[in-house]
Amino acid sequence: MEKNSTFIIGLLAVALLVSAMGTLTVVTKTTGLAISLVNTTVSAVGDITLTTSSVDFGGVYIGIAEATSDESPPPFVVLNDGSADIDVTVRSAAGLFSLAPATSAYYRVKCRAGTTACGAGSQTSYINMPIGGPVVATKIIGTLGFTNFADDNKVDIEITAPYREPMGAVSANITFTATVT
Amino acid sequence: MGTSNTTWVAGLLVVAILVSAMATMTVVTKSTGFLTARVGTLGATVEATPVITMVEPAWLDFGNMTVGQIANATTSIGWGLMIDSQSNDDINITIGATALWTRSPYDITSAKYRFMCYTGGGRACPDGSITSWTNVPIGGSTLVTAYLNTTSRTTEVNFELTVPTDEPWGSKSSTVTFTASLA
Repeated sequence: MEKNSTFIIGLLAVALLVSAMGTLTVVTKTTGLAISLVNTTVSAVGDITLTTSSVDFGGVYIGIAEATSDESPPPFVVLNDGSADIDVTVRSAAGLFSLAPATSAYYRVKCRAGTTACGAGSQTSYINMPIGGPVVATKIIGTLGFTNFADDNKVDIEITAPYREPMGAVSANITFTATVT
Repeated sequence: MGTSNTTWVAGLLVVAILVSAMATMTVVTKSTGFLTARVGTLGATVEATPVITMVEPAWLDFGNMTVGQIANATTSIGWGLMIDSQSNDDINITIGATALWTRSPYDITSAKYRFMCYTGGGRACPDGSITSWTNVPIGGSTLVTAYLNTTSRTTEVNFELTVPTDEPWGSKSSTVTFTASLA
């Protein structure tokens, strides 16, 4: 009997400990309450902001490449708002031009230094923009730090309207996704 | 507490521990694998652009000719120079060239070197195109195909050569330049 009670007390102690850890983790995430018992991974939150979230090239002509690398128009800027180094992937839900192959050199993307250089694993030369759903997302920024004033990279876009592309407005949504490294 | 009850309580506690541990792991996993997605927009406006490309072969070789001989490309060679429109709007095409003959006055525009938009090959020569023999402008340019549209995109230009009677023997060549503009 006494042996069983000891066993149950032991189990209760373990249950309370595990439950307390979970509760503290949640509380810390939701309130910001600083409790030293919480696992440090809680603070490793990846968050990004597009400080330049819209790029409009205006008028473009068939066969002539236009890029944001000359700052006209300015490129996308990805700011690490989190508290950990991050990788950032990029994808475009659909192609930009009706007569260009889905993924092609008519629509390209690369990383360029912002307030900090493009980190290891970044694509610093143009690659064809991945077209499609999340599965095609490709890392464009590697190891972007979070220290203030050294926490953003530019993402250049280059487009070239293909031969015979009909006149008119074209547009695309580009999704940037951050993950904690 | 009987043995049966103790077993029950112990079992429930084990379940409680497992549930609690799973919840804790879920929170921790979410924190470490956190994903943030942001969507930017990209836009541009494709403008009307006059673009043409030459259809290969982009050269004509009339071979050996004798003074006074007349030849035209479509009968002597089988084809003229063909141009494809890669434009997204109607265009006009002009022609200009360097001199073919060296004997004056044939180094300037003359009836010894003529062109026309060729209608015989089923290519496009819309209204306004030059469909009768016209002197090739040397150092200038003149219209050859007008209002080439985005449906019938290929035009063919025929050439007629007449060797001047006092033209020195030897190889002759001329560079022909086609220029597109919006119609």
